[in-house]
Amino acid sequence: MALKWSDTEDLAQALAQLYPDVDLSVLEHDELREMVAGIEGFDDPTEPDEDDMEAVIVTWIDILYPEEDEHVKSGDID
Amino acid sequence: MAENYTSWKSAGGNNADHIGGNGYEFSYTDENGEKKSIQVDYGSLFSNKEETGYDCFIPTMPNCDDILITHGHADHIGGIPHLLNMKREELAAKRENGENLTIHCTAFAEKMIKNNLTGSGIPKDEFPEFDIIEPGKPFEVNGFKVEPFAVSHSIPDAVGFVIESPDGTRVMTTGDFKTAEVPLGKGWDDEKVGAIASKGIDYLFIDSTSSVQQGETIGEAQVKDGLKEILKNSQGGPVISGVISSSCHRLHTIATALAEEALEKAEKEGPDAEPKPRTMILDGASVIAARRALNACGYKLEDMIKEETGVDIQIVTSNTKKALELPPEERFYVCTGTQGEEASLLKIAEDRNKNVSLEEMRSWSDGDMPIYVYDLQSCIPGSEEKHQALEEKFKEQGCITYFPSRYKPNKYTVHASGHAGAGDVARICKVVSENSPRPTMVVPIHGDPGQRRNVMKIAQENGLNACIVPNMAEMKMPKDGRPVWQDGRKTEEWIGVNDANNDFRRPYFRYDKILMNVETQERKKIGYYKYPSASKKLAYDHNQIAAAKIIAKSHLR
Repeated sequence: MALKWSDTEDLAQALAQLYPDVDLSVLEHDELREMVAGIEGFDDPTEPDEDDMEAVIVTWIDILYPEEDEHVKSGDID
Repeated sequence: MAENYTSWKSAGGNNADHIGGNGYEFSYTDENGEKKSIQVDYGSLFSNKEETGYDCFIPTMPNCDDILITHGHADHIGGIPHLLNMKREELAAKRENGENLTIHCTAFAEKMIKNNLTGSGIPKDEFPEFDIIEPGKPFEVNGFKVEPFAVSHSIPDAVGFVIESPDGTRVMTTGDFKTAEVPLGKGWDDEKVGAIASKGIDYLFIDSTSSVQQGETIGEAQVKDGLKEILKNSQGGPVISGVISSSCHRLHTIATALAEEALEKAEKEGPDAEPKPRTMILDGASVIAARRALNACGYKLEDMIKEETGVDIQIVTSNTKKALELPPEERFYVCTGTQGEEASLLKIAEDRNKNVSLEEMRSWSDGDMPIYVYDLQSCIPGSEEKHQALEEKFKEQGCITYFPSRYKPNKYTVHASGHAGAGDVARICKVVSENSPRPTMVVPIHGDPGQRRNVMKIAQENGLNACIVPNMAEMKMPKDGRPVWQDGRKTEEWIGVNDANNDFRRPYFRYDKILMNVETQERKKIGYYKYPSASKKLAYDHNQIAAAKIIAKSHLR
């Protein structure tokens, strides 16, 4: 089955392996579109919206930098 | 016919010895007994799972589909993904009728909430509606007139609200606030708050968290000076710093300190010397996501620093070639994990960080290069052991460390609270009392009993009436300024959130109904919330992930 924009986790996993040294703090959506289009098995003619793309990037960040939530009590979030 | 009235209820946030799980319901009940509500914030309450068995606690579910968010910190938004889980079926049915849960928040808070939803496995088609609000632009929701106003806090675009009920009762709720200037976005403004207050404030709900601290809380300008001192004393080697990522102003402060320190150094070297600031290298998911959110909201740090100082600053993530090729003495790492949790700093200290390696840095010299490690956040109660162990691990690695104390005076000022000190509380009381044509009753919130009592005292000293209302007591708010509530509640109801997978990458949340004894803090499970799983993609099918890896690998070949 072809990968689609809604396959957030799968796309992020593939991208993390294909592009391990991308600066995700500034990655533009146009660049992401091209990267995703280059993933073998990806076939989705629908135009992704901002939320689709941000979900992929945020999941990709989590894969590259797995970490616990900050152990911070709210009063100390400050 | 019954009497109509406006009421307020805290579902969390006024806790015996913890702060968090903020959720405040404002309601109007008409003559026929019909009640309309809006909720302000729906956050999570920190929990030590080893002690309680729960990852966090959240307030009981709101009785309405409109939530106003003051800012994007977990103790104000952390309950939203869990609410969407627990209400999955109800909200799916509503969406079929063109309705949905609506979150009214600023653009920056929207980014933080969406990141939180994605990280918690909520599918996009189950996201709530977002109504993006701005300070100074009133809107109406569910019969209430709402005007957001800017406040200063440690996260950009924090707001308070003035809410006018259908019977004309006007309440101001500050959200988390202080009055010091903030570098990103709008902050506190006496004149603007005074102008809103001049339309009348019957009840004023004030953040109490830092009210026992003397004076007004310091701003980022003092932190910048502390950071510049650190930079001056950290020559010849890399700097590794730890930050709380949601304190986004701090990223701007660090970048400014780097630029100014480089500028001052160049000025000393001579007229032709160029400033060469260290490069900021981000390591950690939450700090990278925070920078994305800043960029998306127009807070482009490099451009801002260039405009403010004339210096070009570079900011990159730790996995980039640029970061790895930089000489170590030009690096300033900004890392997550200030409390020794499983995040960037601990991984560096234990040689497990794939992008930041002490050995790699030392390999650039004969091994005698100093490596400076600064935790820019003091130890948080409950994290003492992990915090101390983290510093010890860096020391064992031969690093020069600075981990500030929470309880003693520190050498450098590296942190500013986002909450109002006694001076800030006095300031808002003064602004409201001088401008409001109506008598105002102050209700302290977001604090333990001692903190709230202090706000009450400050309010009274400034000529305002004040009262302490316990969690979960419904307070009727007549316009004569004499509120009524039922006292003597012995228990509080909370929802205990437990990730049964114990895997923050692939959580499986269970939700228990918990009764908490107010006096003893003992908890008793009295039931649970059943909910269906999200659609297949959110079940994180491991076979599909494996398949994607194979596809990716074949592409690489």
